[in-house]
Amino acid sequence: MNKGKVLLVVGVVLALIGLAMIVYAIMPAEQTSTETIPAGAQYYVQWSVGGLMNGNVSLNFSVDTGTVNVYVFDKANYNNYHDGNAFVPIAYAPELPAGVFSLELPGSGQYYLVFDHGVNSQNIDQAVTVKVKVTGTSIMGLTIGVVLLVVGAILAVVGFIMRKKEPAAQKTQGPTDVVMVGQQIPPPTK
Amino acid sequence: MWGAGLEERRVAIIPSVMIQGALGPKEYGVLLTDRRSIFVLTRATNAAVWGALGGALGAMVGYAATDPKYVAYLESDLAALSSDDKNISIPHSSIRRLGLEKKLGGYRLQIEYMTPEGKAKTLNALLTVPPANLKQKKSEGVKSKDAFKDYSTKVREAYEHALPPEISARAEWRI
Repeated sequence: MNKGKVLLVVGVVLALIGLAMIVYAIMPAEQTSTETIPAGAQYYVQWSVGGLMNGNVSLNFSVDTGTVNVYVFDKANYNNYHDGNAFVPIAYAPELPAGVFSLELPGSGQYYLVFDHGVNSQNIDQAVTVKVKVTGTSIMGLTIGVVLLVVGAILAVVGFIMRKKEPAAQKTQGPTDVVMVGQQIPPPTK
Repeated sequence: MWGAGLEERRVAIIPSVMIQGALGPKEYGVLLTDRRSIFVLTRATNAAVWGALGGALGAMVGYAATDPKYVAYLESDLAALSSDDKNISIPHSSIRRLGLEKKLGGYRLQIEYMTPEGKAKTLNALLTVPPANLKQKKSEGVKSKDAFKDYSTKVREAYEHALPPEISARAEWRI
């Protein structure tokens, strides 16, 4: 087993994985999904996003029937909303059947997009379809990617240097092409 | 012809073929004599073990990290090579069918033969051109495809020289 070669190959593989993670971390993510708010004033649906640097959320939503209220919360105010306490949303739009908006996330924390029933829609099931596009840099993905890239590059360089220093004897090669021999071998002696 | 029955003549060396083993691909060099084909193990990667550690990437790392063993084909004792458990020795007299054909994935050598215990066995080997050969051919402007074809043609010629005429006549060459 050639240790230099192992390090070189492992290093290159790690570096490639790291590079892929970095690219993935900075690429926008897009998702479309539908959730139903059950009939009843206490029900709502939510989506969450977080851990982003320079995060931006673009939203396109529609409701199958009636209207909904839309909120964007930080974590503390989402907890307040959930527990029935006083809350202050980052953004709020009441009584909409559909809408499009875009929002800069103020920090790298967790943010919640919440839909609940409009005033006259509290006694019906409402299906909310949301198409959300999130741009920004995933801090965790970027960190892991950079670490893998750096560690991989170091391993690859060390492996490359170790390979260069291998003793010449290990590099002895046999034939590299089909060889016709035609050599007479004496019979075995007893 | 007194000596003909006693002496075994080395005919050719095929530097590299690949055979799929239970724990991953194994690389063999083939020493052809006028009586038998001795597949000499030059590299066993234990890809299954590496694969268990790191999936497909692990298996690739395991293969790339293992260098083929140097074998002194001309100097080694034939009986010792043949009796080594890691190697595969096929007497030409036991061959029922021999074929070399181009298939998806490369040139494949298939030998159906009978073991000394009377069991029918089939050996499937993928012809692999050694990297140094490929590198040299590429530097001469030869395409990989043509290098593999040239290699397979030489393997065919080597077998035609090594096999008894009656078996050589039945061999199937589809390259």
